[in-house]
Amino acid sequence: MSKVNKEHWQQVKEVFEGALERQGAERAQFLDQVAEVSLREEVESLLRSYGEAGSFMEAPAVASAAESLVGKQNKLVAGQLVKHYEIIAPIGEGGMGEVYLAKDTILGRRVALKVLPEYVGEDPDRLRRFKQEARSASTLNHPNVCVIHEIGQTDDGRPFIAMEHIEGVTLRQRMNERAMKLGDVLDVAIQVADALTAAHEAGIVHRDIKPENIMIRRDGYLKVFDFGLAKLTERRHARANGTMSTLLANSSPGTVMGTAAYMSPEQARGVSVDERTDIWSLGVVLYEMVSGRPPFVGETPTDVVVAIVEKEPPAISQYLVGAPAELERIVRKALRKDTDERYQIVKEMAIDLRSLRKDLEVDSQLDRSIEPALLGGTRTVSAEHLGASTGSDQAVDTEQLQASRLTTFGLPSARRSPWPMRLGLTVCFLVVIAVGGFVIYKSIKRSETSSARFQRINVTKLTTNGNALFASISPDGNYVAYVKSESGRESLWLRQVGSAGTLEVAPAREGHYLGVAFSPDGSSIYYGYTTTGANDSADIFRVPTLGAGAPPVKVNPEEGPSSRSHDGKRIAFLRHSRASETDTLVLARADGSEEQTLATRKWPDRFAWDWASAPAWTNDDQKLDLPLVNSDANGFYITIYELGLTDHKENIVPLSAQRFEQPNHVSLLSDATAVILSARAQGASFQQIWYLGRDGSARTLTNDLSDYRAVVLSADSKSLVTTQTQTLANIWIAAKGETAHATQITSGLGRYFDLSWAPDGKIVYASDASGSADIYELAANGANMRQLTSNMKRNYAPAVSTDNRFIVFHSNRSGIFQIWRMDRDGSNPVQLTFGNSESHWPQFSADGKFVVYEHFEPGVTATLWRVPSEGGTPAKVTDGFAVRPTISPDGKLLGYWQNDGKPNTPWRVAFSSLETGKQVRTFDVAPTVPVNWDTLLRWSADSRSLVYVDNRGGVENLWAQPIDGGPARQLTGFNDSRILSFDWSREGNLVASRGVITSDVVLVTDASQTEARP
Amino acid sequence: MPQAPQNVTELLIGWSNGDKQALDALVPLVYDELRRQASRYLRRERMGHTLQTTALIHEAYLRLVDQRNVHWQNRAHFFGIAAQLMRRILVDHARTKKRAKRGGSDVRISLSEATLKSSAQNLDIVALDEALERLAEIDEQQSKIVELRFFSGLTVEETAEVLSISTATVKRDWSMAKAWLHREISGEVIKNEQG
Repeated sequence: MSKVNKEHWQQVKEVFEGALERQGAERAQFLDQVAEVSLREEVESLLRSYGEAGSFMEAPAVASAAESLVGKQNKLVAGQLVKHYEIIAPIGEGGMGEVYLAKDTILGRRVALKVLPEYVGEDPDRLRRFKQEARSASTLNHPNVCVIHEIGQTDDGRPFIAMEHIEGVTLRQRMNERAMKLGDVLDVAIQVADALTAAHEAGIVHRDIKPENIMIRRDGYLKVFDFGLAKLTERRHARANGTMSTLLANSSPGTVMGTAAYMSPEQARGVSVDERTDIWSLGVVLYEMVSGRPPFVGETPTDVVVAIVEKEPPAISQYLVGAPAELERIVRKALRKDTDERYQIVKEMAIDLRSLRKDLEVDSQLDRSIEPALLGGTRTVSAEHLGASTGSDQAVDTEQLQASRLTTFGLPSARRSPWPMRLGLTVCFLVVIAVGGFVIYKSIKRSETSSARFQRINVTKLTTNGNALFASISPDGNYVAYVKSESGRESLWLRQVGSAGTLEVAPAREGHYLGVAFSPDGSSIYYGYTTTGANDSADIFRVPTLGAGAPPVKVNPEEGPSSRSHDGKRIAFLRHSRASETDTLVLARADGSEEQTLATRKWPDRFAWDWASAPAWTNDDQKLDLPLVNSDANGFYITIYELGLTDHKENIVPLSAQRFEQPNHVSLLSDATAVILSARAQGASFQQIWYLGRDGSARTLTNDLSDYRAVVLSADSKSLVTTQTQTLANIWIAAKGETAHATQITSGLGRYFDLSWAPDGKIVYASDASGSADIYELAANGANMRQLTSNMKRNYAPAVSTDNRFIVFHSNRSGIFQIWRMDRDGSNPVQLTFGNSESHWPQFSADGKFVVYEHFEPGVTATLWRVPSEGGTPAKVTDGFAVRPTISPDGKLLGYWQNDGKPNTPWRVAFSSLETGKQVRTFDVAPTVPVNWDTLLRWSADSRSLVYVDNRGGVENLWAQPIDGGPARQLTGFNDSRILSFDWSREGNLVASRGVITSDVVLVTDASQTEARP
Repeated sequence: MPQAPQNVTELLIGWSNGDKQALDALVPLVYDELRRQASRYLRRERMGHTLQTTALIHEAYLRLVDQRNVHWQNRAHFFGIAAQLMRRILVDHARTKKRAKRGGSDVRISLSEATLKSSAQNLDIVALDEALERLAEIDEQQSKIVELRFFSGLTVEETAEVLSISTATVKRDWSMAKAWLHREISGEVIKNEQG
């Protein structure tokens, strides 16, 4: 049909149009008049076609394409971006949207991205409430609650949820795979109950507890997700009978049964629900895990709902012969139709489940399987199709995905020696490795779990004297070496794990030990030691671990500990040259021959955290991994450096985007699945042990009001040692400085820093005892404690103006520490200093017109500046290196600590005229005065002395240096305790925070592997 | 649409001036917008609202094209271009979909059953497009009317305005084109083929 006679066409057209205007007989008559047969036939054919066409082309093309256009949009493809999430692969699909594995391109972590249907986002109020609820569920920070990173909307308006990516299977899949052991059943129920307890306590009801919303990781750890989602996605219809409308809304036909089965009677009736609906649903899940079928079944959703509302489920013992009566009772109590007869709080249920588990442990019944033969006909999903199981709209990994991840990441079992560094050391010392030593290393079998170490931990305090400084664990995990300090003298000790006996390795002496470590074969202990306190001058010594009395040998190592490939043929290690300040990653044959330089970095770029990190081999020996510490404006963050041994490709594996302060002892687990470090989360007050999984997860192994400085792993990464440092203090007041009559005004063991008298006689101070550092005030009798800052990161160093109207302090609420001013009652905060470097320790001038503070630029110097109290342009007060300014009560003088600005030079007390800025005088202090960058200095009330803490005689007391010269004299007569902070009032009254700082060695062992079996 | 409207405008002008590359750049942009529109279309449909396709399509183009900065020859020119583009995109989409369904082969299946139902969902846009090509050779005006009404979703009145013809003519031509195209793609033996 290419060449048509236009004339003919015109004729056809005219006849066709003419015929169309006529109907029936009239049309036939009209057509009969057409003489040309072909023309008539053609028109008749077209008329027939016209009659048949009906709605053909009546709906616009876009309508016919709409379904498929939208359908195409629904399915995101690999590489596609949703905001800043790059789709990697689909991992699940269900009535509530699709779930994809995606990569957060900004933070570099993997996430599960759930994209919801567009209608969900149509009610902004509900979406907002959901966001609130999801956020609060997320902030529960509960290990069994899946973390939501972000809730947003795609460019085409569909809401999405970016959440923690969990590798594992849903409980649904788990139940389908094989019968569950009773112990596993209780494990799951307890963990779900725990998650719900936390959620309910925060006022969050899940509303849709079902096996599809429970994810079990390979290590047995469980995560509940989709908190609050049910409420968002249910479509409410204005129908009298709310039952079916609610029921059907969430579900495509195949999923109705599943959704209905877990519904509580109150949900089924469409009445309002509270947290007890979750208790019901957990009861249903528990019932199903044990019985293999849900308690309420029916041919249709309506039948199921009727059963839920009216029928009692069959006893569990019908399905599991000899089911414990207590289990039956717990399930019954959860499945009471009347909410008032049910468990009232899920915690009660958790307690009952726990005690049942304990009872069964005694009877060793936990391994009992539920016989598959007894399973009902409810298992419609076969194990082969788990990835696309009906109604599972959550983040599930298909088997392929699991497999590919294992391949991609590799799970190396490299042997490495953990290496401790004393906190704050700028210089590390290294160990020459005797190559022969490696033979002792046994290949460590990769554990069954990929990134789930230390989910459950056992913690043992190895020392209790509170005077341990740092510690290391032997590669085999059997010995712990630690340094302790007694009366200012440090000594090195060895202790066998599991026994109380200790052995002195190096004697107590003046000077400082700087780090301790075991050789990779465990036969030697290395330690650094310096007599001067200067890190640079530390020497490194080696002693036999169990060779009592053997003299230490001074060594000069340049090589870090090495690790051997799985095939045993090669070793890899880092070599550091102090002279050229370079790190080199070296590969060699197992006997140390044929060294080959793989990569080199020159300071400040470096491999790993320090050159004492052992590289880890990937499972296939194809790659070497090292942890990397990076920093940006927001703080330090950790990645893994990976070097391909055949293609020599360098690759950076992003971990969690968590930003840190003071990261140290950054180590890879032996299987390279996670990085462990001691660090303070950006904004947090305490140094904790962090676990950064290769899957992008981040969590703390410790979480208390202690600092865990340094962490050293055993070779198999199954245990670690750290030191737990706790500061516990109380506030004391000594009228007129009479310490003999000092009274304690606080009780218990608190944390009080930066004490400052206010003109109204109150005490203003900073405390981080609540977990965040904030500013408080307290009456001088210890009453009326009042918090002045909250929820604004860390706040320290309050000082009150003489008119009692304002407080200045330093806070990192704007990112880094800057000087802030607020009203005396804590209101109206105003930022006084700005810029990219930090400012600390503000002091009001006597007239309150300006504030003097310390301004610190890393790598440059610390100087004192002043800024108008109302805000304005800062001006430099001192040129030289000076810290901790203090203004004399008479307003004339500015005191501070000063040194030459070079490392390891002594500190001196100094003061300048505030008026001229000229330095007046400096004084040396006794060597027993422990000065560092933060050491407090205050004026006496008469403005005639500068006061500081001196540890003379091993007891901390306040000493005063008269500014007109003469020897310092002791002001206080304390016999014990540390002085953490102090201040003099104008009347000469002393307030001091006194207490103890204890530091003990703590052994943490990974209990996840033994307790939790999937 | 992350891209600046200006780009789309320039591309549209470029394409109307014969720049083939402009089309390549244009399609994915319009495609996204079209998907967005289709999604809205479906939602409205589900919610029981009457579909205002014309408004839909207009909105799509208004979003895409900053008309203040474009000196279209006339309204007809704009809609003509728009309709062609829409047709192109929808046909490409349908073609891709079809290929995917049949595992890559491009064999045409019997359409009789589908066309008997004549529902929008079952309409073979690819076949229709091919038939429309043939129609254009015989009767360009009819093919334009189909393009405007079917692919661009214009009403009879709007189509008449764009083409500067009477609504009666649009209706008559539309009827015949519909009959002819339907016959073409439903596979009825073509009797008027000449030489």
